[in-house]
Amino acid sequence: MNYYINLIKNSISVLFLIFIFLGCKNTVFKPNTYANKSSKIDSTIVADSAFEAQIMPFRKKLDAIMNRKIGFTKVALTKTEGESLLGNFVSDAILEKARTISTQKVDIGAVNNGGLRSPLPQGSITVGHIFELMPFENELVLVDLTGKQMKQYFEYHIGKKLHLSNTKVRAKGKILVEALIGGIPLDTMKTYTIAMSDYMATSEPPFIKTLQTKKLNIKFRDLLIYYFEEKTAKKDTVNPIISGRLVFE
Amino acid sequence: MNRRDFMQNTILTAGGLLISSQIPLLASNKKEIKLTILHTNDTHSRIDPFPNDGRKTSGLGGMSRRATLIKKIRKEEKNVLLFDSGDIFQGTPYFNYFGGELEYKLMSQMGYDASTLGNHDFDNGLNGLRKMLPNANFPMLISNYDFKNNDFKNTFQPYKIFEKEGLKIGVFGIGIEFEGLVPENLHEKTLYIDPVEKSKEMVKELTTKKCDLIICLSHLGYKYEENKISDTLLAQKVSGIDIILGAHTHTFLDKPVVIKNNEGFQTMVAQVGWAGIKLGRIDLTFSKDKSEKRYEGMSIEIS
Repeated sequence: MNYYINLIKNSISVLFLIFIFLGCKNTVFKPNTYANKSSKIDSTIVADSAFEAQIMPFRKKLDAIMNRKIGFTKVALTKTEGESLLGNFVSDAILEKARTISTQKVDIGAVNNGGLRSPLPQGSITVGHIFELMPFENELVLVDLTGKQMKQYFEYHIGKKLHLSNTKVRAKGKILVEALIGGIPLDTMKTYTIAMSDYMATSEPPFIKTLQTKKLNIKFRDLLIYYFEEKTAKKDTVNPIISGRLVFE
Repeated sequence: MNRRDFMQNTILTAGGLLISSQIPLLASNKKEIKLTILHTNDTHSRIDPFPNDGRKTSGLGGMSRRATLIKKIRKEEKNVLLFDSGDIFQGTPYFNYFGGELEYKLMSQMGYDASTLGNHDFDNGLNGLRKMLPNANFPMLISNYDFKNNDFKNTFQPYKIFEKEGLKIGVFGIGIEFEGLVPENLHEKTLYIDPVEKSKEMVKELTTKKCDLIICLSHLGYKYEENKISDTLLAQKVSGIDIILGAHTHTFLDKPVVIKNNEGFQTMVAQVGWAGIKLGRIDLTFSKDKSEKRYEGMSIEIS
């Protein structure tokens, strides 16, 4: 009896010995042995001169393009939750440019909050600022929606980050209680045209991908540069306000 | 109780005589090998520091400063590996005008060992990306994109094994689903493969090749509210990945987060925000018999 017990014991031991050899490589980390030594390196980090020398010719080329002033904004255009000065400014610019380029009626300009990559500071605006705001190569497109789809589009974006011009959308919780386009209540029997980026037209809500788009052959970024330049030519400045376009209660 | 403690305790009770020969084996060869892993993610063409314009990120970052910092660490540490987890491209005019040339050149000079592909690395299409690759002397590792529908099959590799003082470090890349992020005309019918299945396959492969440490360069994102696959979920679903160097969600983790899954395996998940504001650093110590690993995590702000 003892013999068998010992045999089993030893077999187990041998098995474990093998296990140790194979298993040691999979040893787990011990979380109690690491320290958080997060340390801030301040401006005492000197830029590597060889790297700087290599960057310089590229930087010079860009500076010549980017430092050109194109206009002026009286207020800083920032991104905030819901309706924002930056969102209103960009969606207004989109609608205005779409209406000058296209011969067809355009009802709404739309831009997604995620597409606005950087705020615009108060004062002079340069080409570089617009590149920061809109680095992507997105183009302006028109999408026609039936009144019913338009309602779905608004409903889908309740509480989400979409900026709209020429529109007032009010929702209580998940319920759309008011939708005005050009000051007139949404008519589910009519058709509406939205100007948006080609990216947005392949994004959300899913049905938007199934709709035909019309390219206006202008980049989102260029549209904003022209918008500023035209304002400047008219001795105008940019000064958007928060007007209660998006109200999510 | 972790797996190791469990085994040791079990040996003490069941091992009888054999355990006496066991202890010196474990206790010997205490010489340590130190490995320093440096990492960035979502650097987004930030060649220059952010301008001083009052933004939260004002004056931070800059590749020339990153280069100085990396050089300094290389002087202090013998075994350094340097990785990026994707979205090297897009975000400043350097990309719009030069297509990523300078980003790759400077990273090569910093001595990057590997990167994976982020969704924005496709912004000029696969052809735009391939045109830039001669500027990079490090590989783009991606295991869960299948290029069988286009002619990019031989452009990328799924994993690479690095050796430092006899230590074998297996590194594989995992990319995010294209839906809603990369249009078909840019990815050219590249197929996205489930990251969980692919990671299991990679762990198996790298374990077979006797890797002591398995690292995943992931562009999945740290964590989502919905059930979408993320670094956090990957760590829960796949045992065997020691470290996930993450990206995409621009998450600033002050230190790596350790995730223990149902099988008791612990994975360290790290991510250092974006734009090269921080350089992540993980120091690991291996005893010479490789049976023990200890680690320290820190991130350094470049300002």
